[in-house]
Amino acid sequence: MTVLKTKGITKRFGKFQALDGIDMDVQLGEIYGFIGPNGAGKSTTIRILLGIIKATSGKAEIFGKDTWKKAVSIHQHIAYVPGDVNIWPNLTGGEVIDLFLKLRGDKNTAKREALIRRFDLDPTKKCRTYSKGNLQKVALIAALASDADLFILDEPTSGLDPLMEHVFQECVLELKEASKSILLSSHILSEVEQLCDRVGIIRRGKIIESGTLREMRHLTRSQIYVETKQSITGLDSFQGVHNLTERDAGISFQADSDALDPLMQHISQFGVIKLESAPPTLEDLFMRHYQQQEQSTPATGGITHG
Amino acid sequence: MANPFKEMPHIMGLLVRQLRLKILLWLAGFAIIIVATITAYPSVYPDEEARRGFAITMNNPAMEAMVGSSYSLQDFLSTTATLFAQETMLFTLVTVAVMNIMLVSRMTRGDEEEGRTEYIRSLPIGRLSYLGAAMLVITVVNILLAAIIGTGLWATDIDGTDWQSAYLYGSILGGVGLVFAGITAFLAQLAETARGTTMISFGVLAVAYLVRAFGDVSSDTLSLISPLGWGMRTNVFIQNDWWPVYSCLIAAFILTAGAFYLHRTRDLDAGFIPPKPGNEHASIFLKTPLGFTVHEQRVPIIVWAVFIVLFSASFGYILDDLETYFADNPFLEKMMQGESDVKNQFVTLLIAMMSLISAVPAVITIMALKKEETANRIENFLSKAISRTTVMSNYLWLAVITSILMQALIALGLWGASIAVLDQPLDAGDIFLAAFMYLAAIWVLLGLSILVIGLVPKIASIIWLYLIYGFIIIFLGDVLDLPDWANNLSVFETVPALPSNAFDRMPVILLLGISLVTSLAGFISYNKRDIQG
Repeated sequence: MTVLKTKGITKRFGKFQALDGIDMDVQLGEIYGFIGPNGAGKSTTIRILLGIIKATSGKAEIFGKDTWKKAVSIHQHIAYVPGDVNIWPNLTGGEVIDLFLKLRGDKNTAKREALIRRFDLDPTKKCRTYSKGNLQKVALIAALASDADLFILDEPTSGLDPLMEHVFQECVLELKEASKSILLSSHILSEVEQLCDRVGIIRRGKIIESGTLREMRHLTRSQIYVETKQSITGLDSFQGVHNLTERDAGISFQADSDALDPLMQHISQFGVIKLESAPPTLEDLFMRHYQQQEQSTPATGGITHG
Repeated sequence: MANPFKEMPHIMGLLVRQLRLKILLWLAGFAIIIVATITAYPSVYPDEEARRGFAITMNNPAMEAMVGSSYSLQDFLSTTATLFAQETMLFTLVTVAVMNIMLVSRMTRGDEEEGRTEYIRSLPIGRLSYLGAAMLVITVVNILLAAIIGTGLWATDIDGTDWQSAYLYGSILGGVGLVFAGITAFLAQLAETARGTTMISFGVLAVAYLVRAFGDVSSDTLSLISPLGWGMRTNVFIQNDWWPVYSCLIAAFILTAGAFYLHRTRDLDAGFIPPKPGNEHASIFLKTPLGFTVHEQRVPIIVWAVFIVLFSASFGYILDDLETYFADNPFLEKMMQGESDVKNQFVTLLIAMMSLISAVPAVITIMALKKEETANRIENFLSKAISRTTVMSNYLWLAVITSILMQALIALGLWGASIAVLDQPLDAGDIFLAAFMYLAAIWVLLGLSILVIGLVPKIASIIWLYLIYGFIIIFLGDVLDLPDWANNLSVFETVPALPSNAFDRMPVILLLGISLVTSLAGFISYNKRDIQG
């Protein structure tokens, strides 16, 4: 079942085209990773999903309802953690959490107390004294303690320490087990890699790549390192081999997934001593997309000699 | 020891760069209004008879409490500029104090609270450089003010504005300004927030005004405690005493030195009131959107309520002196067509003036909605199951309640004090009705605020300009001799001014209609536009 769906959303601020046709969907019980650099349009998309700003064109629906027109009724089943937590300096963290829970109509105080302990937050301090990470904890606890069906998390961990980051990941996985849906915007790629079922990469207001990590990896290259008895020849011009460099006693390169079979056959002629293959990390995928687009070189670029 | 003022000139540049528009607007505003006002005096009071009339109006306890101790009739007859000084100096001093409080609070605690000071302090600069730069900037602003006003008055070449008098008038404005700059800088060390700094400073200003009011009516020594009392004691345009200016400079210097001392000893971001742990849980009240809005706004509302009730009670208290004064002067009594009429006129004027002041907390409440949006906090509500209409109407309701409360307090203060001091107290019904009449005008202000916030939140501060316009009209409307439409542009002028005038239904209905239509339009557009930020 589709919980969240957008089709061709665009958003203009004056002359600036912030979004240029966003298509994405989040399924029930799925963690969807939404990644992209600063200013790519992640937060703008999320603000449209929350009905705080109105899309210039296109369709955005949550639970099958229009996000602008039905904002209030949608929000009864949504929990949101903003990237920049702006709360009232004169209230304590505990007061803000209570207020937010009450505004959403949740009454689960046991969950609240447990989360405050897990995230190690002092709820009696005024918000003006909290650091960025502590402010984020307040927003996270208020969201995670709620009984929402869809969680929209906009860079929720950018100020958390590694311990808390870990707690956060546990919490998100628990939500998934309870078949909640999660839209996780982030640029901590290792986090997205560990948590997300599917990923959408946004760049300059457009989703340029989306799918499961597996699917995306399939489209891209593995990092390969080989040492052979005789030195390998013919790799320079081999279809699907990239970034060829000599390293230590062997060579290192990237290989397109569909070139792996002929490549292995070719390499085995030279007597393989050592073969290491690593799947591309999300970071590789991400960097590849961006560097490639920034330099506007073709997708199947030539070989680079090191 | 390293120079504690290292790099101060650069920080001054930084501060000026941030505040130059505000400073420019303040200075230009003062220059234009003061020069325009004084230019009007010769035509308004052309002959001896008019000046005698003026002297009678001014030279009585009620007016002295309101605008400061009076010159003698002889002084009023000898130069035109004295009339101008009598009528405008005190309110100009108050306005100059407001400017100083706002600018200094922003440059000291404001920047510190926002973390800008910390960033600057991480650079190789002196410990006192930021505060020092702020104080230098405000000193330059006050010197400029003194020079501009002095030159402006001198250039008008009105009877009495010789160069020494003109520059004394400018200097006392700048001098009192510096005193309040010093007070604010000092309080900025004690309070932990810019809001706290501003509030306490305004409190000091209100106390200074009241102390002077009582002093001008009953005891000269009391007036000398208040810097606002020093203003008229320059006897500007007549004897031209400079000692009040020197007193200002000494007081400002001591206060500033105190601020430096405290600044040097305290930690950044800390005040002198130790923080205590807050509530772990929100109260039931806080957990409702309206309750939350009340909670956020309660401090300013309470402060304003106290301020308003004190003010109107103080003026009510003076009614006794007014009564005695006219009772002792049968001739005057006859001239002013009976004592009760003078009292009524005074009460009418007072309620009109206080209503403008009490509009401020109501508008502050509405503007908090815009402030929440600018601070990106409004989405905390909008991302929950709460509609924009609910959010906006919470602020509107609270503002409406605030306005009713404030008007009731004006009436209560006046009436309560009159019971205490008058044999024949004011009629409660009349006074409350007169005060509530102004709700129609205040609600137009609220409607306009809703409209602007709904339509173009960026220019929401325009409402404050409109309110300032109202103040200018009520104080200077007659002097400036503007056409009727310009006067009526301030809605406060269109309200039936009870009790000395008759009640008229039409303007009230019209005002209520305007407030309804503007609010409605504001709500519709607020629901249609993007939330900023």
